[in-house]
Amino acid sequence: MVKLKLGKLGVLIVVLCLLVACPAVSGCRPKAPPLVLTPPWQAGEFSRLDVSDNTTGERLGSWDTEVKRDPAGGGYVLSMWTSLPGVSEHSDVTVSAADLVPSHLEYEGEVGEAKTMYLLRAEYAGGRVTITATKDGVGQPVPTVKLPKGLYFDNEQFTFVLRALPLAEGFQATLNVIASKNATKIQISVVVGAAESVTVPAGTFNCWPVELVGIGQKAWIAVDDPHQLVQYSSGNGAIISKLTEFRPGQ
Amino acid sequence: MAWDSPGGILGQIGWGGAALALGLTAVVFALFLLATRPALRVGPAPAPLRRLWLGGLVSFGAAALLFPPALALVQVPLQSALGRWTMANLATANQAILMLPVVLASGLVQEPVKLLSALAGIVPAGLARRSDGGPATLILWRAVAVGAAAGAGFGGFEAAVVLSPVLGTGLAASGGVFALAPAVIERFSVIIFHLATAGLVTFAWSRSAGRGLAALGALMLVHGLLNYLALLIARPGPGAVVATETFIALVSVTLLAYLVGLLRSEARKGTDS
Repeated sequence: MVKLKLGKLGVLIVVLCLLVACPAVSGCRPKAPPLVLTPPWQAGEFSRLDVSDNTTGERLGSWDTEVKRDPAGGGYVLSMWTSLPGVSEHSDVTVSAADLVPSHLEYEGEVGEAKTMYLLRAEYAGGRVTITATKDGVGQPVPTVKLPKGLYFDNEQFTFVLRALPLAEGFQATLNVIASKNATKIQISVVVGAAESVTVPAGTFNCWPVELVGIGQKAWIAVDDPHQLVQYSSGNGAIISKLTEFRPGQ
Repeated sequence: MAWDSPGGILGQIGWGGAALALGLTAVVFALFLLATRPALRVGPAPAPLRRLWLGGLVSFGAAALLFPPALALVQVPLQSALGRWTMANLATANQAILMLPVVLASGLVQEPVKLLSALAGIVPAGLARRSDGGPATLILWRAVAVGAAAGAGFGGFEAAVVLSPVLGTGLAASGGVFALAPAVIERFSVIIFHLATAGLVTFAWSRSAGRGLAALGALMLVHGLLNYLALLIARPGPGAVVATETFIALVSVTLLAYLVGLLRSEARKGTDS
């Protein structure tokens, strides 16, 4: 009798374990062919997007991006500046020209009314990201992050990566993203819808809408070269960024 | 939400959330008593009923009291350490793999806390010694009732913490009472789950400490797996809320039905003999 009772609980455990095993095992197997990224930009390219409250239309700040040649190698330095209420950030990510895999990140951010200054440096080497960080000049303990197998990107270069993907209607991919600021790694799935016309201050563009599944963000990438980031929405559409200025590189 | 200090957890509780949680807990506990009523009909009471109520209250109170320190001082630091370990040592960014050890740790902490709370109520309930007399079935049922009270106290306190912010901020902003329904249904199921697992562990413990520990291990695993699967199901997608709530309810009701079945079976055996 006791064996039978224990058996019922055991059956429940086995069923739950099997349910757990399915996603875990499926997560181990590569599902898609390797991604081929083609950087569409030239060194010297500059973009500016205006960031606004999508409901009220109130301008909140700006978001600039720039591409430079890596002076120490054959890759690029992908730079971003964002200026929003309570947050001012700048990042430089040094990446390989071939597959955009990062090798180095420099980040500085000024946050809150107290203008707390965060400085962060991440080195991608030996299968790990080693991060050093300071908060108002005081060193912070930051754990290392083991890099995932396959391609990976730093969160600060993510919108550049979207531009380099082979976008087309129905295209789907899952990207390994290292959020160096939080010493975490996540997977972000992207899904591309049918091309649509998008009008922003910089003009009207035929764009691929790229949904970042499950995180309430969406990017509109120009169909034509150099595949500019034309529009970006975050916070489930609450915040919208629109391209106001674009200068191609040389 | 501030889960990293006992004060932070307590600070989230509002009167509305506490009252709603208490109501849900009372309904779940009443359903448990009604479902196991046949066991009550066996023989004379071994100890005054008021001692049983006292034991239940001690268990209920101990579980509620232990909830904030157990979560803030044990579970959250343990999960943070496991999270750092997975980030530093697993060569994947797949959340389904990275969060597995982190989420499994929830059962590792919460089930022992409920057992400790149940044991705290056993003595005041007059169930510490078999020599207290009375039919074994009734003593068993009373021990399980004290365990179930610990589960209800733990689940009820958790419901107060979870429901208070929803009541405080979400109600007016997100469509009134109907916006509350998913959270209330989920908490109802979770209280059932806590009550059932604590009751099952106490059932096994009242047979022998060895069986109690084995049941504790098994239900720690069930608890962790339930949380893990609920998180996986809750990932974005159509019908995720309904699927998650259905899954939690299904497992919780299955465990409660199992506990009720065990007690009724023991009651039948007691009657037969």
